[in-house]
Amino acid sequence: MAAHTEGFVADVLVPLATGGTLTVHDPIDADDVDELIEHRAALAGIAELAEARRRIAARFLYTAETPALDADSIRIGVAIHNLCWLLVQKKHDIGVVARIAAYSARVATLEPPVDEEALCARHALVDGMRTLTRHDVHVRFWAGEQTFLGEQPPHRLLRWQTVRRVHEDRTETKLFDEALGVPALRAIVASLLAASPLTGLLFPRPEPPLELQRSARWLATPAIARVVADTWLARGLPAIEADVVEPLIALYNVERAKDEAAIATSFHSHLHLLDVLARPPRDVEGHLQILRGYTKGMTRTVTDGFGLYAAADRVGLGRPADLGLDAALERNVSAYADACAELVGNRRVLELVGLVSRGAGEHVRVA
Amino acid sequence: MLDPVALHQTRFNVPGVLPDGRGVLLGKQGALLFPSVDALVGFFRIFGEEASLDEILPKLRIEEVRGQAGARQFLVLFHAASSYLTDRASRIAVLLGGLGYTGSGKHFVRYRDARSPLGYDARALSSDLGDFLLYDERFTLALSRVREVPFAQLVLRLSPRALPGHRDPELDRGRLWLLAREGLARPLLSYLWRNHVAAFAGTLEPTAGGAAFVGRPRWLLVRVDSLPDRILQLATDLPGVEVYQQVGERALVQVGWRHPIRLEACASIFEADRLYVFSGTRDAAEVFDQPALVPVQGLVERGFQLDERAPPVAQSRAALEQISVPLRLSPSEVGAKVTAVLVPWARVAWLRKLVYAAPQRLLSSAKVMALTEGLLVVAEDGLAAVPIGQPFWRAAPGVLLPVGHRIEPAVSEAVLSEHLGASASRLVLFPLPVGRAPVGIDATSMVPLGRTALEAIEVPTESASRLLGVADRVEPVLVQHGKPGLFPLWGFRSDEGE
Repeated sequence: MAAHTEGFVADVLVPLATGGTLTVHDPIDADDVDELIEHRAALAGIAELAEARRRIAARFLYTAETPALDADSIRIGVAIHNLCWLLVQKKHDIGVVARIAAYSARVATLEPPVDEEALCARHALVDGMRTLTRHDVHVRFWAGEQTFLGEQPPHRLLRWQTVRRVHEDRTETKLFDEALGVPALRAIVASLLAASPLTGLLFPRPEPPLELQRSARWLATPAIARVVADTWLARGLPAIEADVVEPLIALYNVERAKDEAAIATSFHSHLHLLDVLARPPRDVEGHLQILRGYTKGMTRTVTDGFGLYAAADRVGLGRPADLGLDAALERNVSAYADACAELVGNRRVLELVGLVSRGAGEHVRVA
Repeated sequence: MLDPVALHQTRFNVPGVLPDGRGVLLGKQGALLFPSVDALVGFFRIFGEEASLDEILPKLRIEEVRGQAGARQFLVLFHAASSYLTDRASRIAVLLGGLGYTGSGKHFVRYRDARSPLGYDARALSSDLGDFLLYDERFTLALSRVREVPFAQLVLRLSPRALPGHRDPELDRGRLWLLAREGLARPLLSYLWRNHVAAFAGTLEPTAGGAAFVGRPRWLLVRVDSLPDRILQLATDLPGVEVYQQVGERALVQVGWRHPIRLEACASIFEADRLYVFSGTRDAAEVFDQPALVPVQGLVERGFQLDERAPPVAQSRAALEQISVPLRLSPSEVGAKVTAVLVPWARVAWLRKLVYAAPQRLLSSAKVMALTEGLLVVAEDGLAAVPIGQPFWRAAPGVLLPVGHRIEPAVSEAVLSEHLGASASRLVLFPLPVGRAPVGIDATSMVPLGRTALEAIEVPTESASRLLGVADRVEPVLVQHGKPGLFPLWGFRSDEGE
């Protein structure tokens, strides 16, 4: 096994799962990947990695098994490792560096997870990518200056600081945001998020936008949906609408994604119902007062989120079928739907009804 | 002659009628026409059974009228406060062969029935002469007033009716009165007093009026709270004594008889400070001033003498000689329940071993305190589980005696505790051998055995999420670069198939 991949699990995968210091070595190529996959059982730190991933998965699945180190995990780790290596290179679109970037994007292109445990196992690694941080040091002295990316400057450069007029600038760089700014590296990030749909679902961002076509099916899994709803509502309904409404509308325009559109719409309505149930029952005017407070100073997209709920309610995706068992609850939810419709205006609601009907297809029930 | 009233109709030929909230045509007054006195009395009887007559009494008028054919009839006029009240009155009147009308002044139109639920309106007003004009479907009645019959007169002049059978199903034993001739007063009261019947008695004087030389008998009135069957039977059969039941607040009706009109329903016709007595056997209705009643006991006991007893003898107070003896312990077969144990210091090691076997109840209830002689363990629930040391039993609150000994003299527990100054917060212990002075112990400084039983142990603190096996938070990943190898890009193979 090559020297730079001997400590791959301990240096790369374990820090991704537990936090701490991720050590970047030379870029890992296809030969190294094959070798890692072949000898993965003998790599150091496997037990620690498995326990760390199980702890993360236990947040979603109480009975999560300890995941084994499979080929997909190694590919994800290689892609993140190479991404960190590429982030200190100056040019990414020429020569071997471009090849490394292309390979890293390709190596992270995986089949969708087969079950919830595989989903959580991948998330345990890819989630670390969001928090990748690098400490950079820029040293200026009387004769020049030098930058050290993710490295400590040599001691000799910092000696006699007064005489040599040494000035040291330490900065912290968020690598995730930096990677999104480089097209070649952005493809790697997109591949990683596509490989781990749960990571994108949990933390939707304007950029890259949430990819609901691939990830919506997991919202139909109660264990996953429960944690996603909790995470989203912790951010607040208006804040999450800003990042979710556009992907949702984009999903309605995708062909052959009617099941996914129906699931995503139902989950979006579920969020609204949870938010409504957290407050005492109100009439239409009372709900409208709250919604106006929510959307004050917000973009049109946020307002459309509430209109989408009103539209979903009109096509039968806004409330569970057994809600009518409790008349008071049903009255409260109907008042909320009416308030949402009044907030965006009936004309916009009708447009959204058409959009949802086109997207969800046969799942729509018009009363 | 009549047209059915339509919903939302606003114009009517009969004056003084308007639709109410339900749309039913209603005038200020309701009018009920009865062909006979029987029907009239029957109406008040049934109405009083269903509701209070006080609803219609304030503006009630009973007119004896005569029609064009000369037949005598009775017209009852009352204030039609609502169509519900008029509905009830009209229904009862129809039941008794009468007719129901509504209107005001002299014009009255037929009240609603099943054929016209909102009532009727006359096609044209009649010009017949009469004090009252009643418009019906097929005729118009012109009635002339003969005289007015006051309702109070109707009530007071009707004779009570004998009840069939021997028992009155509505008889209330708690509201019985006895009315006796003045000559029977003393024997009757003595009889009640001897039979322990709680009763209050007074005399009745008829109200003034009538000729000066007419004899007005005086009556004894007795109210009995609960009359036994045998005395009730005796009083009923005794000549000169009548048994009455109280009806309402101010009326008495003889037992075995009933007034044709329900008197409870028309309480407002009876004056406040009068008593109305309706006798069936004498067929009389009498009005008395409200009597003042006194307990029977005060009227029966007599034969007092001024010198029945000699004058009371004064007793002087003598000086009390002090009697005091010292407390002492004496052997006796007492103290079945062990409340405290004094473990000598030499045996404390045994107690430590016992703590492992002690039940949770004992560890939580027992309290300990270190004394010079040893460790005192006290448990109110009992200490039978501790077989070492000197056992004590609780002779009085806060007083502990060695098992097999008791205190002499055998004073009460309260006296003993008070004498020794023992309480829940201060225990007094009598140690052996006999003759040693008792020891006072501050109970508030005792500590539960359970709290002293465990040695100190260091318990590491775990966060909740770790205990559950869930990652508690996401630590940031810090990227640092290791030393690059020699020619790191040399021979980089980007295709897995190469």
